[in-house]
Amino acid sequence: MSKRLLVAVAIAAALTAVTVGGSGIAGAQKNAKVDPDARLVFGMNMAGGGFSQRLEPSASTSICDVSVGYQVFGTLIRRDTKTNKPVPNLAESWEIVDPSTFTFKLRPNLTFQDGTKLDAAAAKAALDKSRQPTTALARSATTLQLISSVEAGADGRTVTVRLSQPVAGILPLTFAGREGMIAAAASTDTNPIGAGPFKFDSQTVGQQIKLSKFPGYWDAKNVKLAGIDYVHTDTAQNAVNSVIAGDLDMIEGAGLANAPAENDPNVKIEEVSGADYWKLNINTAKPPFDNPDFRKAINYAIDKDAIAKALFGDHAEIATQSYPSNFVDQYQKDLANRYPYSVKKAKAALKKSGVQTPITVQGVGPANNPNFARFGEIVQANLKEIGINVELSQSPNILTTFFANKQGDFVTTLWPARPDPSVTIQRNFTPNQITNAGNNLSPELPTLLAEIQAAESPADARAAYKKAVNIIVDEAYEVPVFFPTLTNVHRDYVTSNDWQLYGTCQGVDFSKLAITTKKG
Amino acid sequence: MLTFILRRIVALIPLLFIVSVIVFGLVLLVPGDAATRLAGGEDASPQQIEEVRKELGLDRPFVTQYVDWLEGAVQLDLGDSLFSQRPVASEIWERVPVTLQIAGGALVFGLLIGIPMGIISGMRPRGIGDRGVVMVTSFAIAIPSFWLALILILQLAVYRNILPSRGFVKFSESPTEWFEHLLLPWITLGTLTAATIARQLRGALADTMSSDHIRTSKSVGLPSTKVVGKHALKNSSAPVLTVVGLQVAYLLGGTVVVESIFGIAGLGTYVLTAVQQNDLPAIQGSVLFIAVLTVLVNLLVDISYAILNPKVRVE
Repeated sequence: MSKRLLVAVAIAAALTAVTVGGSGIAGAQKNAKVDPDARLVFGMNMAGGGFSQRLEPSASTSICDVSVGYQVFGTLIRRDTKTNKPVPNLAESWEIVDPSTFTFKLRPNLTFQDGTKLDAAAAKAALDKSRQPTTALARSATTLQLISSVEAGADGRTVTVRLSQPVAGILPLTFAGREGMIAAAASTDTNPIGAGPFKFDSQTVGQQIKLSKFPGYWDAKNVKLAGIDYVHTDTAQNAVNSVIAGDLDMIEGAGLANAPAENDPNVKIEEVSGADYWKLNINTAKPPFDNPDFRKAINYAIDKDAIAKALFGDHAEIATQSYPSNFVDQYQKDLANRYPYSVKKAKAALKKSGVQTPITVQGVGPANNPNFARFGEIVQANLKEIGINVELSQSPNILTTFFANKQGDFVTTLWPARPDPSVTIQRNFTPNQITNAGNNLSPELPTLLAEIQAAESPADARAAYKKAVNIIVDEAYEVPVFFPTLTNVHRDYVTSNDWQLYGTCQGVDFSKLAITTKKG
Repeated sequence: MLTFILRRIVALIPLLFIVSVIVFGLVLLVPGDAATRLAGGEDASPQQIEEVRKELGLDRPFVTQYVDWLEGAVQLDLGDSLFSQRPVASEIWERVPVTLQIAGGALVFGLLIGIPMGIISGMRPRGIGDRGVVMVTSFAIAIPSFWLALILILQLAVYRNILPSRGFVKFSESPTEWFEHLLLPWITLGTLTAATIARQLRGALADTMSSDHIRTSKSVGLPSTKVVGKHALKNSSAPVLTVVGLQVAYLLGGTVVVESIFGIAGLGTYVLTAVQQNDLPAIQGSVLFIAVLTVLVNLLVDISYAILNPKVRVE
């Protein structure tokens, strides 16, 4: 055989080997089988204020407790994070009988993880326990306090909830959160028992929580994980490093901290638009912030794009109002360009307000948070351009410092979205709410809120939402800045055929996840 | 000796009282209290927050709150955590073994590295070995521990997957994994300890080696190992013991950073969370515990002096 032919054969053989081997590997990855014995190792901050470490729903003091609660208890109703609409979960159907009466029907043959039945009587008992005024949950989830009675139907599956106010329309999405978690009679804080896809095994407080698949879950055949190990992580950067290192399977991502993972071939990042928003919360009772034109000047002067890029890169939607653009029932398109960044318009509004510059105002931000520190610095620089000097301070407890004690003129803060969107209006813009610092806003807003909460569905409330959002934006009661894209960062062997957002405070449903045999 | 020990233990009492007053006062200087968060944070109304404040007794005068706490503390009841509602003493007790393993391991690391370095350096001052040790220890003293931790995680865990980046495994579950998970925290925390011990030993050994009795030992033909190991080191150990005692306080405090970075739930992260949440009973209880531990360790150091140096016993 000639030398040339020999070389050609060798090259062909080598190419063939590489192709077959490569496709073998790629093929193996593509066709990797689900490992039914695999456990998901999920990192989250279990020692900070975002997780109350109380596993019993009625003792919950943080909305982020849902991350574990969803798995152990499930919820009566679930929120579809793509459409933001309620979908059945433990309850297979529901009905708004009238604005003050809501009924739901449980799926048949539901059981708790201790073998007891989850029927109408058990659901009534759990809701009655959660809505006691002295429970931590009832204190923070005020919708529960509006429930005047809960009745178990004779069929054993139907439950009727009667309300003291006509707000039945908000219950479907409310029951998609902590309020809709049904605990067994024997459930305690140290041994939570629910009817969710995973049962509680053990907890080392502040360090680790172990759950295992519950075979008696109504949809157990579609649950692909054998269990979940929640482990404590501190900062976002450390958590991302741990995913890259393979010590964690998944975490809730955090903006620019995800950067090291973006180029790692073994790590993937899922993105979903979020409804949490970063903003300036203003004390509208303090001069000159009690002047609408002054507030409008602030809105024009803030370079939202610069702030979003500095903190989240390209992973943010600029906020022009309190709801993101995918909240079709709440978002107002015609307000999208109400306050474009413009120093000229800001100065014009300032002039119209009659406020003399230079003027000094006080801004507050959360302590020990580099992102909020940066946020505050950019705001300070922006306002300086129009003659407003900002003295920035930090507080370890802005709820007390700014909202309760009224120290400072505005605060840089994050508003976490709630399962029920009307809560954003309720908490921020209606009277006697701790997060309404000025408490002097339009009297129309409580009326509009009542209309929203009485509507049978968010779509029916569109007209009321439109009016409310227009008032909030026209009066410039706040300065919404951006909605960060919500992400989760995971190893490539974690798969799902329905990638909803999995994170500490989001519509978490780990029962939709699977781990392939690639994990090893 | 017994009188000496008893006297030191009795002296603990006013010290702990002063520590508790100072900590209580400092916490009260921080704006806000736990009531807001416990009532549901931004989801709670001002009335609900006030209700919770009254339930927890946080509306009482500071002195009343302190005296109530003190009454419990002297009976070893440190109260319940405002957040978990579990006894603070139980929560501390659960976490102490983890923190002691981190701090203890770091101390051992420091001794294992620091003593040989100190000997190399002290045996021949201004020699090549001494210069090398001085350079390395200067660097080790200068670098912040959190930076070192992050570099170690990146290089050994993220880029090379040699060691885990986080977490803790009990020794009883797997001794190998226990060691692997603690090695980076030990190196992080123990580096400064090693450098400090090396420097102290270097100075003490250099002085001792130039003393008459060492010269005599060498001149009568004793081997170097015996001169150094039996005579010089023993006489140089007092300042090193002092440093070890001081390092315990540093190590216990340093676990806050290390536990946070490596995601380990020990006493350090417990104190940090308690401070962030204004969980007064948890703060008081854990600080008091750390103060007691530090003082007891220093007591052991003092006893060690007496064992090593008969003159101290007589005095």
